[in-house]
Amino acid sequence: MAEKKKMSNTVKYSVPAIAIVAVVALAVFTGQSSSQAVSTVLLGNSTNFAVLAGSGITNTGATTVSGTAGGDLGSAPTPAFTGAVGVTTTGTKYLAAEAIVVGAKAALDTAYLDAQGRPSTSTIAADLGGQTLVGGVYTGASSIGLTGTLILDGANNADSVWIFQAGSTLTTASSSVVSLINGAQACNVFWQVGSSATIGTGSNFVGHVFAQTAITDNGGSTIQGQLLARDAAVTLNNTTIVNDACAAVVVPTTPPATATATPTPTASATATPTATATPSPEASTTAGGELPNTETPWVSYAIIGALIALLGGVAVATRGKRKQDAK
Amino acid sequence: MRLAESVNKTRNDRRSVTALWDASLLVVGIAIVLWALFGIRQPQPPQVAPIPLSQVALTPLTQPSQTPTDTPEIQKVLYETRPELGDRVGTITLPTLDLSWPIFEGTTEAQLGKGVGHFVQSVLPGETDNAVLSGHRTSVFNRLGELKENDLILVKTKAGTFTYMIEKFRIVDRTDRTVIVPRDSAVLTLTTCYPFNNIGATSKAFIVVANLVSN
Repeated sequence: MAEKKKMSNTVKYSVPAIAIVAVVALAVFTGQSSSQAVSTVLLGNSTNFAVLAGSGITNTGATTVSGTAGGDLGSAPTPAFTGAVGVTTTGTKYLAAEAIVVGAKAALDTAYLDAQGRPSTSTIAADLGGQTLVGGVYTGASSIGLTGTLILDGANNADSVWIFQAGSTLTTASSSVVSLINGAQACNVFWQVGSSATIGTGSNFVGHVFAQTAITDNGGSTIQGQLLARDAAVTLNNTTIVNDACAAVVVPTTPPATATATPTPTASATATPTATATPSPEASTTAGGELPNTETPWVSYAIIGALIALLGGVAVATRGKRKQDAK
Repeated sequence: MRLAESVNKTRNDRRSVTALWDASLLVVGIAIVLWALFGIRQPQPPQVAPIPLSQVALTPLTQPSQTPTDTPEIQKVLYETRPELGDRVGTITLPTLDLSWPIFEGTTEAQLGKGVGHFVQSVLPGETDNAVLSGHRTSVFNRLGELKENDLILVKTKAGTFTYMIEKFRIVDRTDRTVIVPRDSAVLTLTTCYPFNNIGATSKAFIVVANLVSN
């Protein structure tokens, strides 16, 4: 009888345990499979363009464009560029119709269709804010929204690729952030947007945005990647765009001890192209970090104390005056 | 008669209690002010020996990564180990203001009360990218507004002495997220609250952006 009860307990506890193990195993398996399958989207002649549009570019305020892949800006077939004087770039501002822009637009079309055609590995059911995603093809049937922080986890693979497919719009809230961890690279993040993309004020966005219609920065955003619109306009507003090429594949980091053992002056000259071109993750500045709080705490306390003292002082003085009047 | 006496007694008791309450407010308020001024307000941290300007060779550096290159640029490793929170990172000297402060790792009150804080999620001074240093507007950085474009800022760490030239100033909201961003070249960003002489909390920040010109 006791043995039967023991067996029953074992069964009772092992069923949930097995279920948990199965779910975890499934999650790990599906996570791995999605991160392994996706190859990058080739940008072709659009690589050098930080901004491409169809019906023109409009800029407000001071926009800064740079990046190792290129900081070109252009629009075709309508080469309008309003507020171009406010754009500072390390690349070229194409103000008239030029063949190079037309070629870049053709490459954008190819890249857009490539990204759109990738088989989905996961469905986006809710806002991307608060989620941590490994590489994969993530599909939103209609709109994709981002409020807060989306973390893209490279899982120590610098070649992890993320492709986000939005059936209609991509909208990020003000001050939203895309954060890259564990070797994730901005150059490997792609957003294929079925209609228009809107980047909220002060966002820190990451990736190549391919929009069928328009792309708008509501103001003061930082984009590590590209803003490429096929049909309509790209609207910039005090925007910072950094269009960097992928860093060379990172060889496992050399321990400091080894580095000091061979500090030959010719180290940089003889380094192989596979050496890392960027500092280790902890040695790079975070994107969109919140300013440190440099407010002095004692000032606030002193003001509160002064107000309380003032209140008490007024009350004591009033009481004294009343007493005098009563006499 | 007894009732009238009782009512008067109650009134007097109430008056005494409220009088005591008013006096307590006054005393407590003064105590808080004194505590804030002398208890938690740390005195201006002591200055450290300035970095001599004469030792700095002003050889302009070529700005890296301005043009795309086929081969990746290999960055020299300046710091083999990263400092721990609270560690002394180095010294910052503002020659035009004749000020020199110690720099500590971290930007909490524990570090900002002692000098200038290095924002942990930024590169260290001298490295390519954006090194962010912060300080109180009421102490170490209270004269930041007196700096001018092209003034020099010297930073000495265990990796060497780095000279930055001020490119521009910005006044932004404290919530602004466009200040702490990656940069292609070696940039030093100083941050503090603004306005400098504001009484009470501030909602703005004063930013100094400087480029590395020599190391």
